[in-house]
Amino acid sequence: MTGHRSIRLVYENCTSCMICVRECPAWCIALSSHSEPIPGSPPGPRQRTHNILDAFSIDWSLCLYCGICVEECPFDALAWSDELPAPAASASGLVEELT
Amino acid sequence: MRYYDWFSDGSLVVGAIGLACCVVETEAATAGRPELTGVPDGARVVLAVAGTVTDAVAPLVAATVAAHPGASVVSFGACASAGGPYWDSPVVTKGVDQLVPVDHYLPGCPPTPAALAALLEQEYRHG
Amino acid sequence: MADEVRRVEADGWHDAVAAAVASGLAWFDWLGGVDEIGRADAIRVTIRLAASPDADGVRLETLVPRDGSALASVADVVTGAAWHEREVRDFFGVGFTGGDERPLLLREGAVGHPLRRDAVLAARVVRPWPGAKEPGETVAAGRRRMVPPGVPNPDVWGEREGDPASPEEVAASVQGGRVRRRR
Repeated sequence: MTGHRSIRLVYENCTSCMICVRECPAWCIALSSHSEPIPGSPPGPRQRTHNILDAFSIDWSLCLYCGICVEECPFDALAWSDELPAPAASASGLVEELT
Repeated sequence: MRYYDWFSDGSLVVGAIGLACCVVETEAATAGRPELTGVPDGARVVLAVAGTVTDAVAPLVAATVAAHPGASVVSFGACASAGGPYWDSPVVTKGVDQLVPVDHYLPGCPPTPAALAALLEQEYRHG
Repeated sequence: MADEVRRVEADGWHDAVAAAVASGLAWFDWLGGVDEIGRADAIRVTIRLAASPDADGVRLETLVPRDGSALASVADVVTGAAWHEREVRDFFGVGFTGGDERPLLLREGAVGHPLRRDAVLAARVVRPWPGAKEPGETVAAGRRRMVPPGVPNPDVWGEREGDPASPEEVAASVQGGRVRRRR
């Protein structure tokens, strides 16, 4: 059985669509990405691109474990995890970079 | 406030400043531990701030912490750490660290009793 | 089953509620407010009464101007409404003459009425919204600022030329509608 003590990122599924970031009621998810040409696609002014995820963090000092991000993610890139986030010596220390 | 002799050896006294639902978890964590009527001389004190700090109750929280000089403060859960789900409320303090210095932040909404026990075990078991 | 809705004038509010209670609708469900800004410059105050908890209810509604006007308190005929009236007074700024004047949920001396649609959540304005970025953006581009729910469009909030935005403009922008910029 999987508990819901924290939320983990399934990196390879994330398309950097920003849906989780916008749906989060606590504004606790930060995501940054950049766009790159798809390898092998024909070059030119209309070359197809895809987004590469650069950084994804959750601020555990704000997260209310509501699971809206897990529910809303269309690509199953977020999932419940049984692991508790670690305590920290500062509030900013509760911001965890997920990889 | 209720004080508990955490390790049953008089070395660490834990008091919970219970403000909201996180108190259910701190009570579960203290259940079964010896309750004290006050803080014995020489004991280390940990105050766990559990729950939402509203602007109305903020002075009382600050005064309670000030009444325990030298005590360590544990911010228990999201509300005490940064306002949690109520971070955008016009009447909620965005974390108890705006009032008093905090030594440890325990994440969770709520954190588990085991998480508090593990933190205290690690930080305060031996001196 | 849908409630029957009776719209009454503000000055006939107390008598209408008293008559409804006298007609047998003696079970009080709730009393609340809705900011009608954009449709009317008023707060809609609603009371729901029924003959019993399981019976179909009747909702009496009236519009109270947003300028701080007052309704007659109905706490003398519906005792339980006293707390609800205090809540509506706190959150919407509607007075209830003859009622309990003490705040219920806000502190004494609190400024503003948080459930009015033109009340701005300061914390949401101050904190940068993580969702302002578009997919593929490392930093939010400035050309078209996305605004989170609960924060008015920058065109009507904060620094702008000319007169301050009217409550209608602020409310419309909070609802996500396009706000016409005044020149």
